[in-house]
This record gives sequence, C-alpha cells and structure tokens, in this order.
Amino acid sequence: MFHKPTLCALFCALTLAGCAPAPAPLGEPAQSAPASSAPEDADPAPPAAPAPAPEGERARELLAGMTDEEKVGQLFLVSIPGTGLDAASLAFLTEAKIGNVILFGNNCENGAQISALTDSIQRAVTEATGAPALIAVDQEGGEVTRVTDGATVYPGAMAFAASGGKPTALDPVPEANALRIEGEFVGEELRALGINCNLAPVADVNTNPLNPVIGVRSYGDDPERVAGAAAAYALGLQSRGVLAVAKHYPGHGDTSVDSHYGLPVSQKSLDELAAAELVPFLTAGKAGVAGVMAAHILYPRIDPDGRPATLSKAVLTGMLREGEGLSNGFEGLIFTDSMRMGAVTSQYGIGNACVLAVNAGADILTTGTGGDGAAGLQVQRAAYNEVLAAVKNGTISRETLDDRVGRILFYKEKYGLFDGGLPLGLDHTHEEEHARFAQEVSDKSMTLLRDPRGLLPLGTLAEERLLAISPPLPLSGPTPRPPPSLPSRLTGSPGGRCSSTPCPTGRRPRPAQPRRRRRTGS
Amino acid sequence: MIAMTRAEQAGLVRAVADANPDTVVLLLGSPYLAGLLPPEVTAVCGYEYTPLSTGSAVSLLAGGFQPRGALPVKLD
Repeated sequence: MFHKPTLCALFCALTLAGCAPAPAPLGEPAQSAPASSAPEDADPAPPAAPAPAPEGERARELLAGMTDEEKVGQLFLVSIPGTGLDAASLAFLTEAKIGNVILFGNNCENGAQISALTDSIQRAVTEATGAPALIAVDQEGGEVTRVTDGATVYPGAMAFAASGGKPTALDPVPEANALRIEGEFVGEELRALGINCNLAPVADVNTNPLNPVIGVRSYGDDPERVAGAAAAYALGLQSRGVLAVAKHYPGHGDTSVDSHYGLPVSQKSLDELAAAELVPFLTAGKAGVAGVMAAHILYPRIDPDGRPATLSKAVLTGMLREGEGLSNGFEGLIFTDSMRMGAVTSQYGIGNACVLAVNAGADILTTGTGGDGAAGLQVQRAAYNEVLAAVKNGTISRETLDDRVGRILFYKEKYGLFDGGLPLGLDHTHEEEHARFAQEVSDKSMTLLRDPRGLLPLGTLAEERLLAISPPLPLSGPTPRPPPSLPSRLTGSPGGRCSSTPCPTGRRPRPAQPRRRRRTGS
Repeated sequence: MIAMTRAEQAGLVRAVADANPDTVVLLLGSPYLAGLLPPEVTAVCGYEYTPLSTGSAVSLLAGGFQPRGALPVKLD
C-alpha cells in the first residue's frame, strides 16, 4: 500500500502534471534489486546503487570460456509452445544452449503458472549455458498486453498520452510522470513473475493515419512528445531492473503495410527520418534505454541493397550503432523484430535472415512468435543450426560473434540477472493500488470530440430508451470492474458476440457523486 | 450508443445515426476513425477496446466524471 502522503503526491503529480518537472533521466538500472525489496512507494528515485564492481567482468570471463555453440545460443530469443516447459522445449533450450526466451499470450495463463514457467526456464538456461536468460514479453499496455492475469493491465500508449491533456510549451509531455510511474509498476510486476525484459515502449511516431499495425500503440504524432513519453516509461521499467526495448527502429509509424504480413517500404531519406521517426530512438539512446528493436521495413534511400532495416548494415550499424549523420549512436542491445514475420519469411529463409541480421549489426535474433507450436521448435532449431554453420564457415566472423554476445552478457550482468535471475515470488501487495492507477489513467484518457446535441451524460435522456451496440471484446482478462455509480443494467460484461442491449435510460444519475473521492488523495 | 473499433463499421454507424440523430459514438480504436463519422453525432475517443477503456467509457456516459483527455494526434 502507498503511504498516504505518497498517494497524495502521486495523484497530485497526475493532476498537476503541467507543473511537475519531467522525470530525471536514469541510465542505470536497479542492479540486482529484487522486486521483493522494491520501494513501497511511488518515489521515482532509483534504488541505492550496489557496491561498485568492475562492470562487465563476469560477462568477459564467461565469454572467454564459451564454445561457439553457447555463443550462438545467446543470440536467440525463442518462443516455446504451452504454459509449461515440456520435454521438447527443454531439450531444445538445453541442447542448442539457447540464451533467451520470449513469452506470448499462449504461454501466460496466470501469475502462479508464469512464475513456475519462468523459474523452469531460468533454471534450465542457467544450468545449460552458465548465464541467466533474458525472459521477455510484449507488455505494452492496452491491446498488446500478454500477461492479463497475474499483472495489472494498463492503458495503451495513446490512451496514456491522451490522459495527460493538452501539452504546453512549458510541459510538452504532460503524461511523463504517469508514464514513469507506469514503468515502475510494470517493472515490479514483471520482475515478480520472473520476467526481466519488456519489449516496450513503442517509440513509433504515428504519422500515417492509415497505419494498420501501430496506431494507438503509439504515443502520438509529435516526435518530441513520443520521445519524452517513451523515455519516461522505459526509465521507469529499468529503475526496477527490467530491460526496456524501444521499438520499431527506425520507425513503423509511417507505413501502411503490416510487417507481420508483407514488407512495408518507406521512401524517406535520413534527414526526413532524423526530423521525425528517429527522434524518440535518439532520445532513448541518450537516456540509456537498454534495447532497441529493429523493424522489417525497407528504406531504399538508406539501404541501396534493398534489405529491410532488420537485415541492413546501413541501418543497424551505420545509423543505429554508429549514429552516422545523426546526433548520437546507440550503445545498447539491438533486437530484431520476429524473424518469423511475413516481411522476412516471404523473401529470405529464416536461418539466412538470421545470419544477415547478425552481420548487419543485430545482437538478439527474435525467432519466437505468438501461438507457436512444437513445429516452431524445429523451425527455430534449424535457424540456430544455420547461424552456427555460418560461424563455423566464417560467414559470421568470430570477432562479430564476440561483439554481439559480449554485449548481451554485459547487459545481463548490468541488470543484475546473474544475481537475481530467478523469480522473486509473487507480490500482490501493490495490486490494488496499481489497478486503481490504471483505472484513473483510463478515465482521464476519455476524450470528448464533440457533443453538438448535448447528449452527455446519457441520464439526461429521461423517459428514453438506450440501445448499446458493440463488437465482442477481443482482449481476455479480468472482468471489468463495474463503475460504482452505474445502474446495474449498464454493467454487463462486454464479452460475447456483438451485443445490442436496449434498456430504458431512466432518470439522470445523481451528478457529483463522490465515487472518485480517492482522486483527491486527501 | 454505438461502439466503433474499425473502419468497416462506418456504414453501421451511419445507419444508426440516420435512424436516430441522438447517437453517441464511442471510438474504441484509432481516433482517426472520427473522420468517418456523420457530423451530428456525439463522439468520444477511448483509444482501445479493453476492459479498462469500456469501464471508463460507461462511467463517462453515466456522468461519473467529466471528459478530460486531449487528442495526441491531429485530425484533419
């Protein structure tokens, strides 16, 4: 539970975000800070720094003793079928010395099960490779939320941005404080489940209204605002020991093709990208965000070889790592988007694409995909074998391999995974406060575009009847909490088939009910 | 009241608004869907179709709180 003054400060910060300073950038994560000892309030100050040790020493020692097989395994971020570690998955992880696992919705049923799963993965990977696993998830909030039972579901990026109200010159990112808090809350919850890497925030600037895949996953269409919002969320996560991964480099916001199914093409030049799409990623690099995920998007004016960003040396090494022609490069981990997506599989074999990605500059090859079955293990194993063969025959040099694996191990050490990789046990202490915060932000995000006939609130239509039409609710998860002031006829679950519910609107609900008293915090 | 999550629902929304101009449209998806709405309807953006957003939208409709959000994208 929050201490009262802190709760007050939290909601004051949300309400008066216009007067509050932007959160201080925090490049250093909470090294080996167990979630169980995470601060019990919403103080954004980082946990106390651990005793200084030569950074990267364990990583360097480990790298020096690794076989090619073990090094190649570190490059992979794989998915497994099911909600437990079955024999086939265990064999794949240990025999291929896989270093990292991504969980999707089909791997996540509830908190206790996720905890048990991450515990099995962590034990198997640590035993087989000598290094802890990155265990990653896409916990963006909103409609892209993999853990819906066992962690709080927060609003998505665009709802968060809307909840901040109108930006001003003095406060260009009014939602930054709320996002910092969200990042801390999500970080605590994920670490408690044994998940140490979140493939979020979405740092795409949604400049194309017809974008089929980013849309409301973005913080909006203003590059500076997206930059501030994404950094605030990322640094909140990292303050709790969870690596944040900003995506989808160099920007998926101006595309009208979904890279899950086809290969989007952008004709933008470097200068055009630097003025908009790249702004959040440059900011993330300066702020010390641990990872950036590259997208399967073709930029013919940047890569004359016609390779998508994930496989492009000009993009991953030139632009991203070295910052060629830009204000800064990026020191963190470069992830690929899933190599199982249509944009890559339609033109390159997965294994071949993985080899190209490593040579282009990627550190971590995401070969996992949602809803993966046993056949997926074979596909990923074949990709592993191809990358290993490329190392053995010199297509991937050992210098390149050591550069990539050295960076991966360095970040595992930097985030304390060698000391705290095992799950820390479920901690439900903060559940209620986190859920209340999520609902508060959701309420604040509701945006009235127009009400020309003065229909709101609906209670004014006394004696009339109300027909409610809505599609079935796609996101599984806890049943929504019925708003306390509502007549019971409006509180049915929105699940099921397309529903239309005629009902009398009755009398106007009593206005100014103190149902949101907590908001004042006093 | 009609919830809209995808552009394909624009025809249904128009038909509902034609039948009854006292229509509230909840945009529980991209705010750019607003460009497809008849001008006379009341329109609220909730940005996503989740238990959280539907709970908030219903509270708003019932007068539980005043709308305070601001669009983070420009609509033309």
